[in-house]
Amino acid sequence: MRGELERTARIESYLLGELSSADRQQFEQEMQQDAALAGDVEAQKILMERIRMISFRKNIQAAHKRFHHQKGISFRNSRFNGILIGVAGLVLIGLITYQLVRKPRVTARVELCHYIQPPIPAADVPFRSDTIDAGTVNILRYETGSMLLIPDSAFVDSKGNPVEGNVEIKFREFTDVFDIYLSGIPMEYTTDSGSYFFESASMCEVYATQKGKELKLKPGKEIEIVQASYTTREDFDLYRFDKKQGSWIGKGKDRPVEPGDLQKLKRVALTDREEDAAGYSYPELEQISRISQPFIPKKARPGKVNFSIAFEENEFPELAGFENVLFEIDESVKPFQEGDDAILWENVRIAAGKKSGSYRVTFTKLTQNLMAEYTAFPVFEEDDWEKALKTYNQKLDDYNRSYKDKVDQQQELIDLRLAKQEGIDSVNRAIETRNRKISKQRGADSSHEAGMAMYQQVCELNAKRLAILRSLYTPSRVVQRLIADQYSENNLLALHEFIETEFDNMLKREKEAFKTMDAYNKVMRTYSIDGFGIWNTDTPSNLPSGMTLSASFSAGEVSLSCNINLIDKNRRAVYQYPVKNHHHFRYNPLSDNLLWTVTQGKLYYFNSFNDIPPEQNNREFTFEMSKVDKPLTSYKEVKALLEDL
Amino acid sequence: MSDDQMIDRIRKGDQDQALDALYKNYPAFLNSFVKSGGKRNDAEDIFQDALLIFIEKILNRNFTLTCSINSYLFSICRNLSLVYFRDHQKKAGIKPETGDDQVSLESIEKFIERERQFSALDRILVRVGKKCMEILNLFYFSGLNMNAIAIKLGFSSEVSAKTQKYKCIEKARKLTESVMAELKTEWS
Repeated sequence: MRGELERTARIESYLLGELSSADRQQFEQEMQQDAALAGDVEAQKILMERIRMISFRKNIQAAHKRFHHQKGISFRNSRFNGILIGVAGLVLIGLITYQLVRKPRVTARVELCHYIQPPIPAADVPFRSDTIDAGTVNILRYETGSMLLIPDSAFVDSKGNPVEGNVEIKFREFTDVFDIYLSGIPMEYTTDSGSYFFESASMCEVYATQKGKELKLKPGKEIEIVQASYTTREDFDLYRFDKKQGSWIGKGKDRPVEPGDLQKLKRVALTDREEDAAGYSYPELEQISRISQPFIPKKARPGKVNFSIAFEENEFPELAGFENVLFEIDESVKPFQEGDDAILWENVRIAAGKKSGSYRVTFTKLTQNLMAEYTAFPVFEEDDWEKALKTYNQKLDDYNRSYKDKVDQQQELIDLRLAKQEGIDSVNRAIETRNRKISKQRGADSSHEAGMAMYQQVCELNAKRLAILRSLYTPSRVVQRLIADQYSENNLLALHEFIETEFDNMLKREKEAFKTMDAYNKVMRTYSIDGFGIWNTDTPSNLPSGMTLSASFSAGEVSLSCNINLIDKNRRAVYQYPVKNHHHFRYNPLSDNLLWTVTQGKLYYFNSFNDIPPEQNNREFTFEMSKVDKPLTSYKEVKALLEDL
Repeated sequence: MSDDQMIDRIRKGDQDQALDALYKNYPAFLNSFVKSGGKRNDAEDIFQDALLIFIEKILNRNFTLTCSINSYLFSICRNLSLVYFRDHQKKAGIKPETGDDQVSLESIEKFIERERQFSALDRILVRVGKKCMEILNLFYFSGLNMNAIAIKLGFSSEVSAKTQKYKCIEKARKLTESVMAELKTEWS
């Protein structure tokens, strides 16, 4: 290890030009003979260079942020800022004047509301709206199997006032990569260590409104979301999209639940509430009793023994601020031992005594194995007492003030905790209600088996239809009929068309049945949300790898110079390749891939990845994209088109 | 801030104010770039690349500027835009900047190629850890000596800071070598 470090240090000295001429020559000779050393030198040189470049980029990006931040504020003229600071009253007039006399400049100001840009606005993922009564527990079920469990009294308006009556819940979920794409929600996740693409296990967007006005969740209340997913993997975290910043914010973890475990789903109560014989007690209240009250200063009594010792004011805040504090021995506990005052004690310890306001003072002299312990009260000499009384009055005021603040503060905490507990209780009630329903339903028709049976039935029916079609359309039969002149050309075409349509219908029915069966069989993920917006359980992933192409994209004679979307059907992520990255296009050849783009209202796609020979790796390749001529006018149509690619 | 002051600050590693001043050129560049048919999002990347090239040039002690900083920065932006429009097969009414002290199209292309090649390495390098990156950054970028780094980062001595730095380099070098090997396979 040591040798390796020395080698690293030597390479650094060489690269920084710190070696003497002789050492340098020797090092270069060694490099010529030792390819590994030469390789290390090259790598270290590149490394030093890249560290500098990373730092430059970081500084430039910081300048970029500062620039846009300044531009985000309305004041764009530094001379004007001076006036603003100096004459606050003229701010508004100044602003208006400024806006009137100057046309807004073209700037690259970040448009806060445009982080979400659906690529085909007409085909954005639609919301489902439900009206609920805010006063009761509500369970909303969706076709995908997802559920919202909404506690009672969960909403407040923008001013924080409780909301009663009808509330509209708008909910949409993004069930696959196509939904994610169509929503236009950015799925890039940037951290200090770089940018990643989110692979999503489940994602949804939820809002509540009343008479068109957006509502908020009451502090302490949470909505439980049980969302259909495709995976039980646990490496996913919960994120919320910050629409103002255009970025994702980590919010902890979700909980994947197997279908069979759904019935068991129940949230636990808050654990830090303790129950005692008298009822519930709260640790917060105990904290209040720990605020030390100031003690009432007493005068030293004549003829009584007292002493003065130094103490840490931090340890005894009740004594802090008092000057010349003396400790008078409480001889009712233990009388003063004559001679103790003549000993030169080596150490003194002070601690709170058993009696209220008393202290236990222990004197020790370990060198002679001596110890004396007294209970004592703080007192003051006549001359200091008046001053101590003033300090006491001041401390009493402070104490009363801080006690009140603390009580208010703790009361708020308790209210919040009670509200949270109430929220958890009401969600639990909702879950119990739902669980009862599920149990009942399972008992009645055993949903999973019912789904399987229905799917099998459709498959069997299709098999029968296929057999009939085959018998109608055997070549020998067609030829016989043709010879017998029983089929005209038109008849034959009609038959062909009928069979084609029938095949399509069969496939559709089978697909639908599979989806239904799948819904019964789905994995669910559950998480709680404490606010409305876009929520997502994700794991950051890198671009796929395996094949790298310097890619270009065209459709016939048209060159497609636009953002390209790639999906690996085994991972639920959309990888976006902007034009600048086309020359470094990566995909996993072992996966099922699809790429597409929408430009000028037309959909272009490519799915023949198997036709790309492995030898093409790291070479130029032009993707010949197919164009879909159908109009892109609604979510359903576009989704169906993408699913069929 | 005068041009000389700006160059001086960049060379001393005190770049924030200089970069803020340079960023004031961005709206003008954005305007002309968008008018020529470029996309707003790409303008940001190009401008940042231009700043990077500019800083690299300034840090070269042999470099002397014969025009104003703003003109020089614009000439880099212009040549970067040309490469951009060429790669996007767009016609733009921009003429290449030529001249002894200008950044040639050829060197712009080299820069783009280099940054493309090493973008994967830059992303991987952060795996050495935050503390390591901090040490390496302070030493190679900010130019602090090891004693100052030891004090700043709370090492018990200069020697232990130095040992840590070498460990970091070693870790980072191994990552670099693995990426280099991959790049070489790609190039071959």
